[in-house]
Amino acid sequence: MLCANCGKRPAAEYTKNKGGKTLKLYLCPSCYELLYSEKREEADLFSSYLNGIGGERKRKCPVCDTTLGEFKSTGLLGCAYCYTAFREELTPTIYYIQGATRYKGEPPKVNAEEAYDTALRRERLKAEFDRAVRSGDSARAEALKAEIIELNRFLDGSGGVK
Amino acid sequence: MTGEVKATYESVAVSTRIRLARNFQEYPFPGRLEKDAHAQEQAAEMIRRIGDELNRIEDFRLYTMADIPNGTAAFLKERNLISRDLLAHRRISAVYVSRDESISVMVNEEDHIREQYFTKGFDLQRAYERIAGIDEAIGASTPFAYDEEFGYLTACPTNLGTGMRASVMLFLPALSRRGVIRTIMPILSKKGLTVRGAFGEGSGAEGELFQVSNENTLGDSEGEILQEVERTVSAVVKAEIAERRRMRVEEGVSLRDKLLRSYGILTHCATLGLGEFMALAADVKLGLALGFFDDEGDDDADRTAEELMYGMEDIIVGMRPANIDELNGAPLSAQEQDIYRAEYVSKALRGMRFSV
Repeated sequence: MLCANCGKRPAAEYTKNKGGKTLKLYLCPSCYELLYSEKREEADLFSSYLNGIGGERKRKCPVCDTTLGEFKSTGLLGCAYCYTAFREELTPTIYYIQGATRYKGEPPKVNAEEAYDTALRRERLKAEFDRAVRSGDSARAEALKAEIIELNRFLDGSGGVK
Repeated sequence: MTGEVKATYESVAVSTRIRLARNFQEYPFPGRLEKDAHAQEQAAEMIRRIGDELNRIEDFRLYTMADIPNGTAAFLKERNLISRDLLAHRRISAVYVSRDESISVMVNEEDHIREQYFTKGFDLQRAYERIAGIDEAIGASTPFAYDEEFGYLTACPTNLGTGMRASVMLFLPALSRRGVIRTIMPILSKKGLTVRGAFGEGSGAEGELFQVSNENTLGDSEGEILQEVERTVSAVVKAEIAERRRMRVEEGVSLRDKLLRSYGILTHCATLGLGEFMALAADVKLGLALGFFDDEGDDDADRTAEELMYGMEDIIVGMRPANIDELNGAPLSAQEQDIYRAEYVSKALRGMRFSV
């Protein structure tokens, strides 16, 4: 097995305690020294690790044009799609930082796409409602209001027109 | 000597804060957005969308960072309602603050959205419920950047997953004065918790306040993270109380003398620098916690020692430089501030009617 950091030299197995869990690290001795030398500050460690991650520095995220090299120098990604574009290179980095790569938290409460469409529809209805009120068409306004309340219920469980 | 050492969470855990980091799917992250030709238009749209959702649940005040004076920005920063990173993106950033200042939602900090809920005392569960409600409201009309494998996506992988940082501010005078804190720090870090001085490293005005928070945001669920923070913080609280008991037994009257003198200076001074104030205020809070300022046999005292300690916290936040300028209504020189602080603190402390 090759070193998970440089990907060139053969790896040895190291164990490390992080977040109450025991991690197994497969690194070559010189990368281990680089990443885990006790004398180093944590910030140094992170940046030296970032510099060591594999992948072509010039490779770009197709959505926001952030390059892997930019991520290595700032530690910041450019957009949500960067996680897809650089998934392979990021996975060991994430494991190093977090001690895990798999999300176990709660998924978003609502279907975001659907909620977004609903919210857009509500925006349109509100505008129509305002027009109906201004033109004195109270029957139309009443009907629109009922529809908006229904959408409010779907979106956040509360009623009322705002 | 008077009352007993307080053995309550409230005498150690000053406040609880939970923050969630979120991003919109369709905009570049703030660091990238800033370089975009239409950054400000996009930021304005984000700010409006978040405000629309927030104002449906509660009344929020909006501060657009590009439009507010530096003094107001410093004031918000001192009150922990905004961060340094928010100021770093001032052209595109904003913050929504609830009336009681318990909720702040920063827009275009390192991530598009940083929601935080703040409460006095130690109550992670309630804090999480509140922030989850805010999160759901903002997320109702907006698809957050989310990935099946990684969870909520953040600009920096250190916040990835839950995007959650749960932190408790602890007042640890006994552990820090008696050097025990050095042996506790490595244990906390092994438990996956980070400890920081409350007002940034090396400012000399820490006031023996320490912020303990979870380090990792991915791999455990929100509930598991909260449980671990809660369990560890409880252990630290118990250690602090035990150390306070030992401290009082071992240092007795000389300690009481020192703390009473600190109270004496705070109530009788004409000029008071921030660093000196923080140190003396920590003494007074410790005196309250040790029961030195209790009235013997006075069961109908107006406020408990813990309530007085919280009162001290409010004064401590209110006496930072930008907060003094805000109270005063106009900027003061450093020297004028020290005079203002001395007058304000001595009046406030006398008004609190300690039993000394």
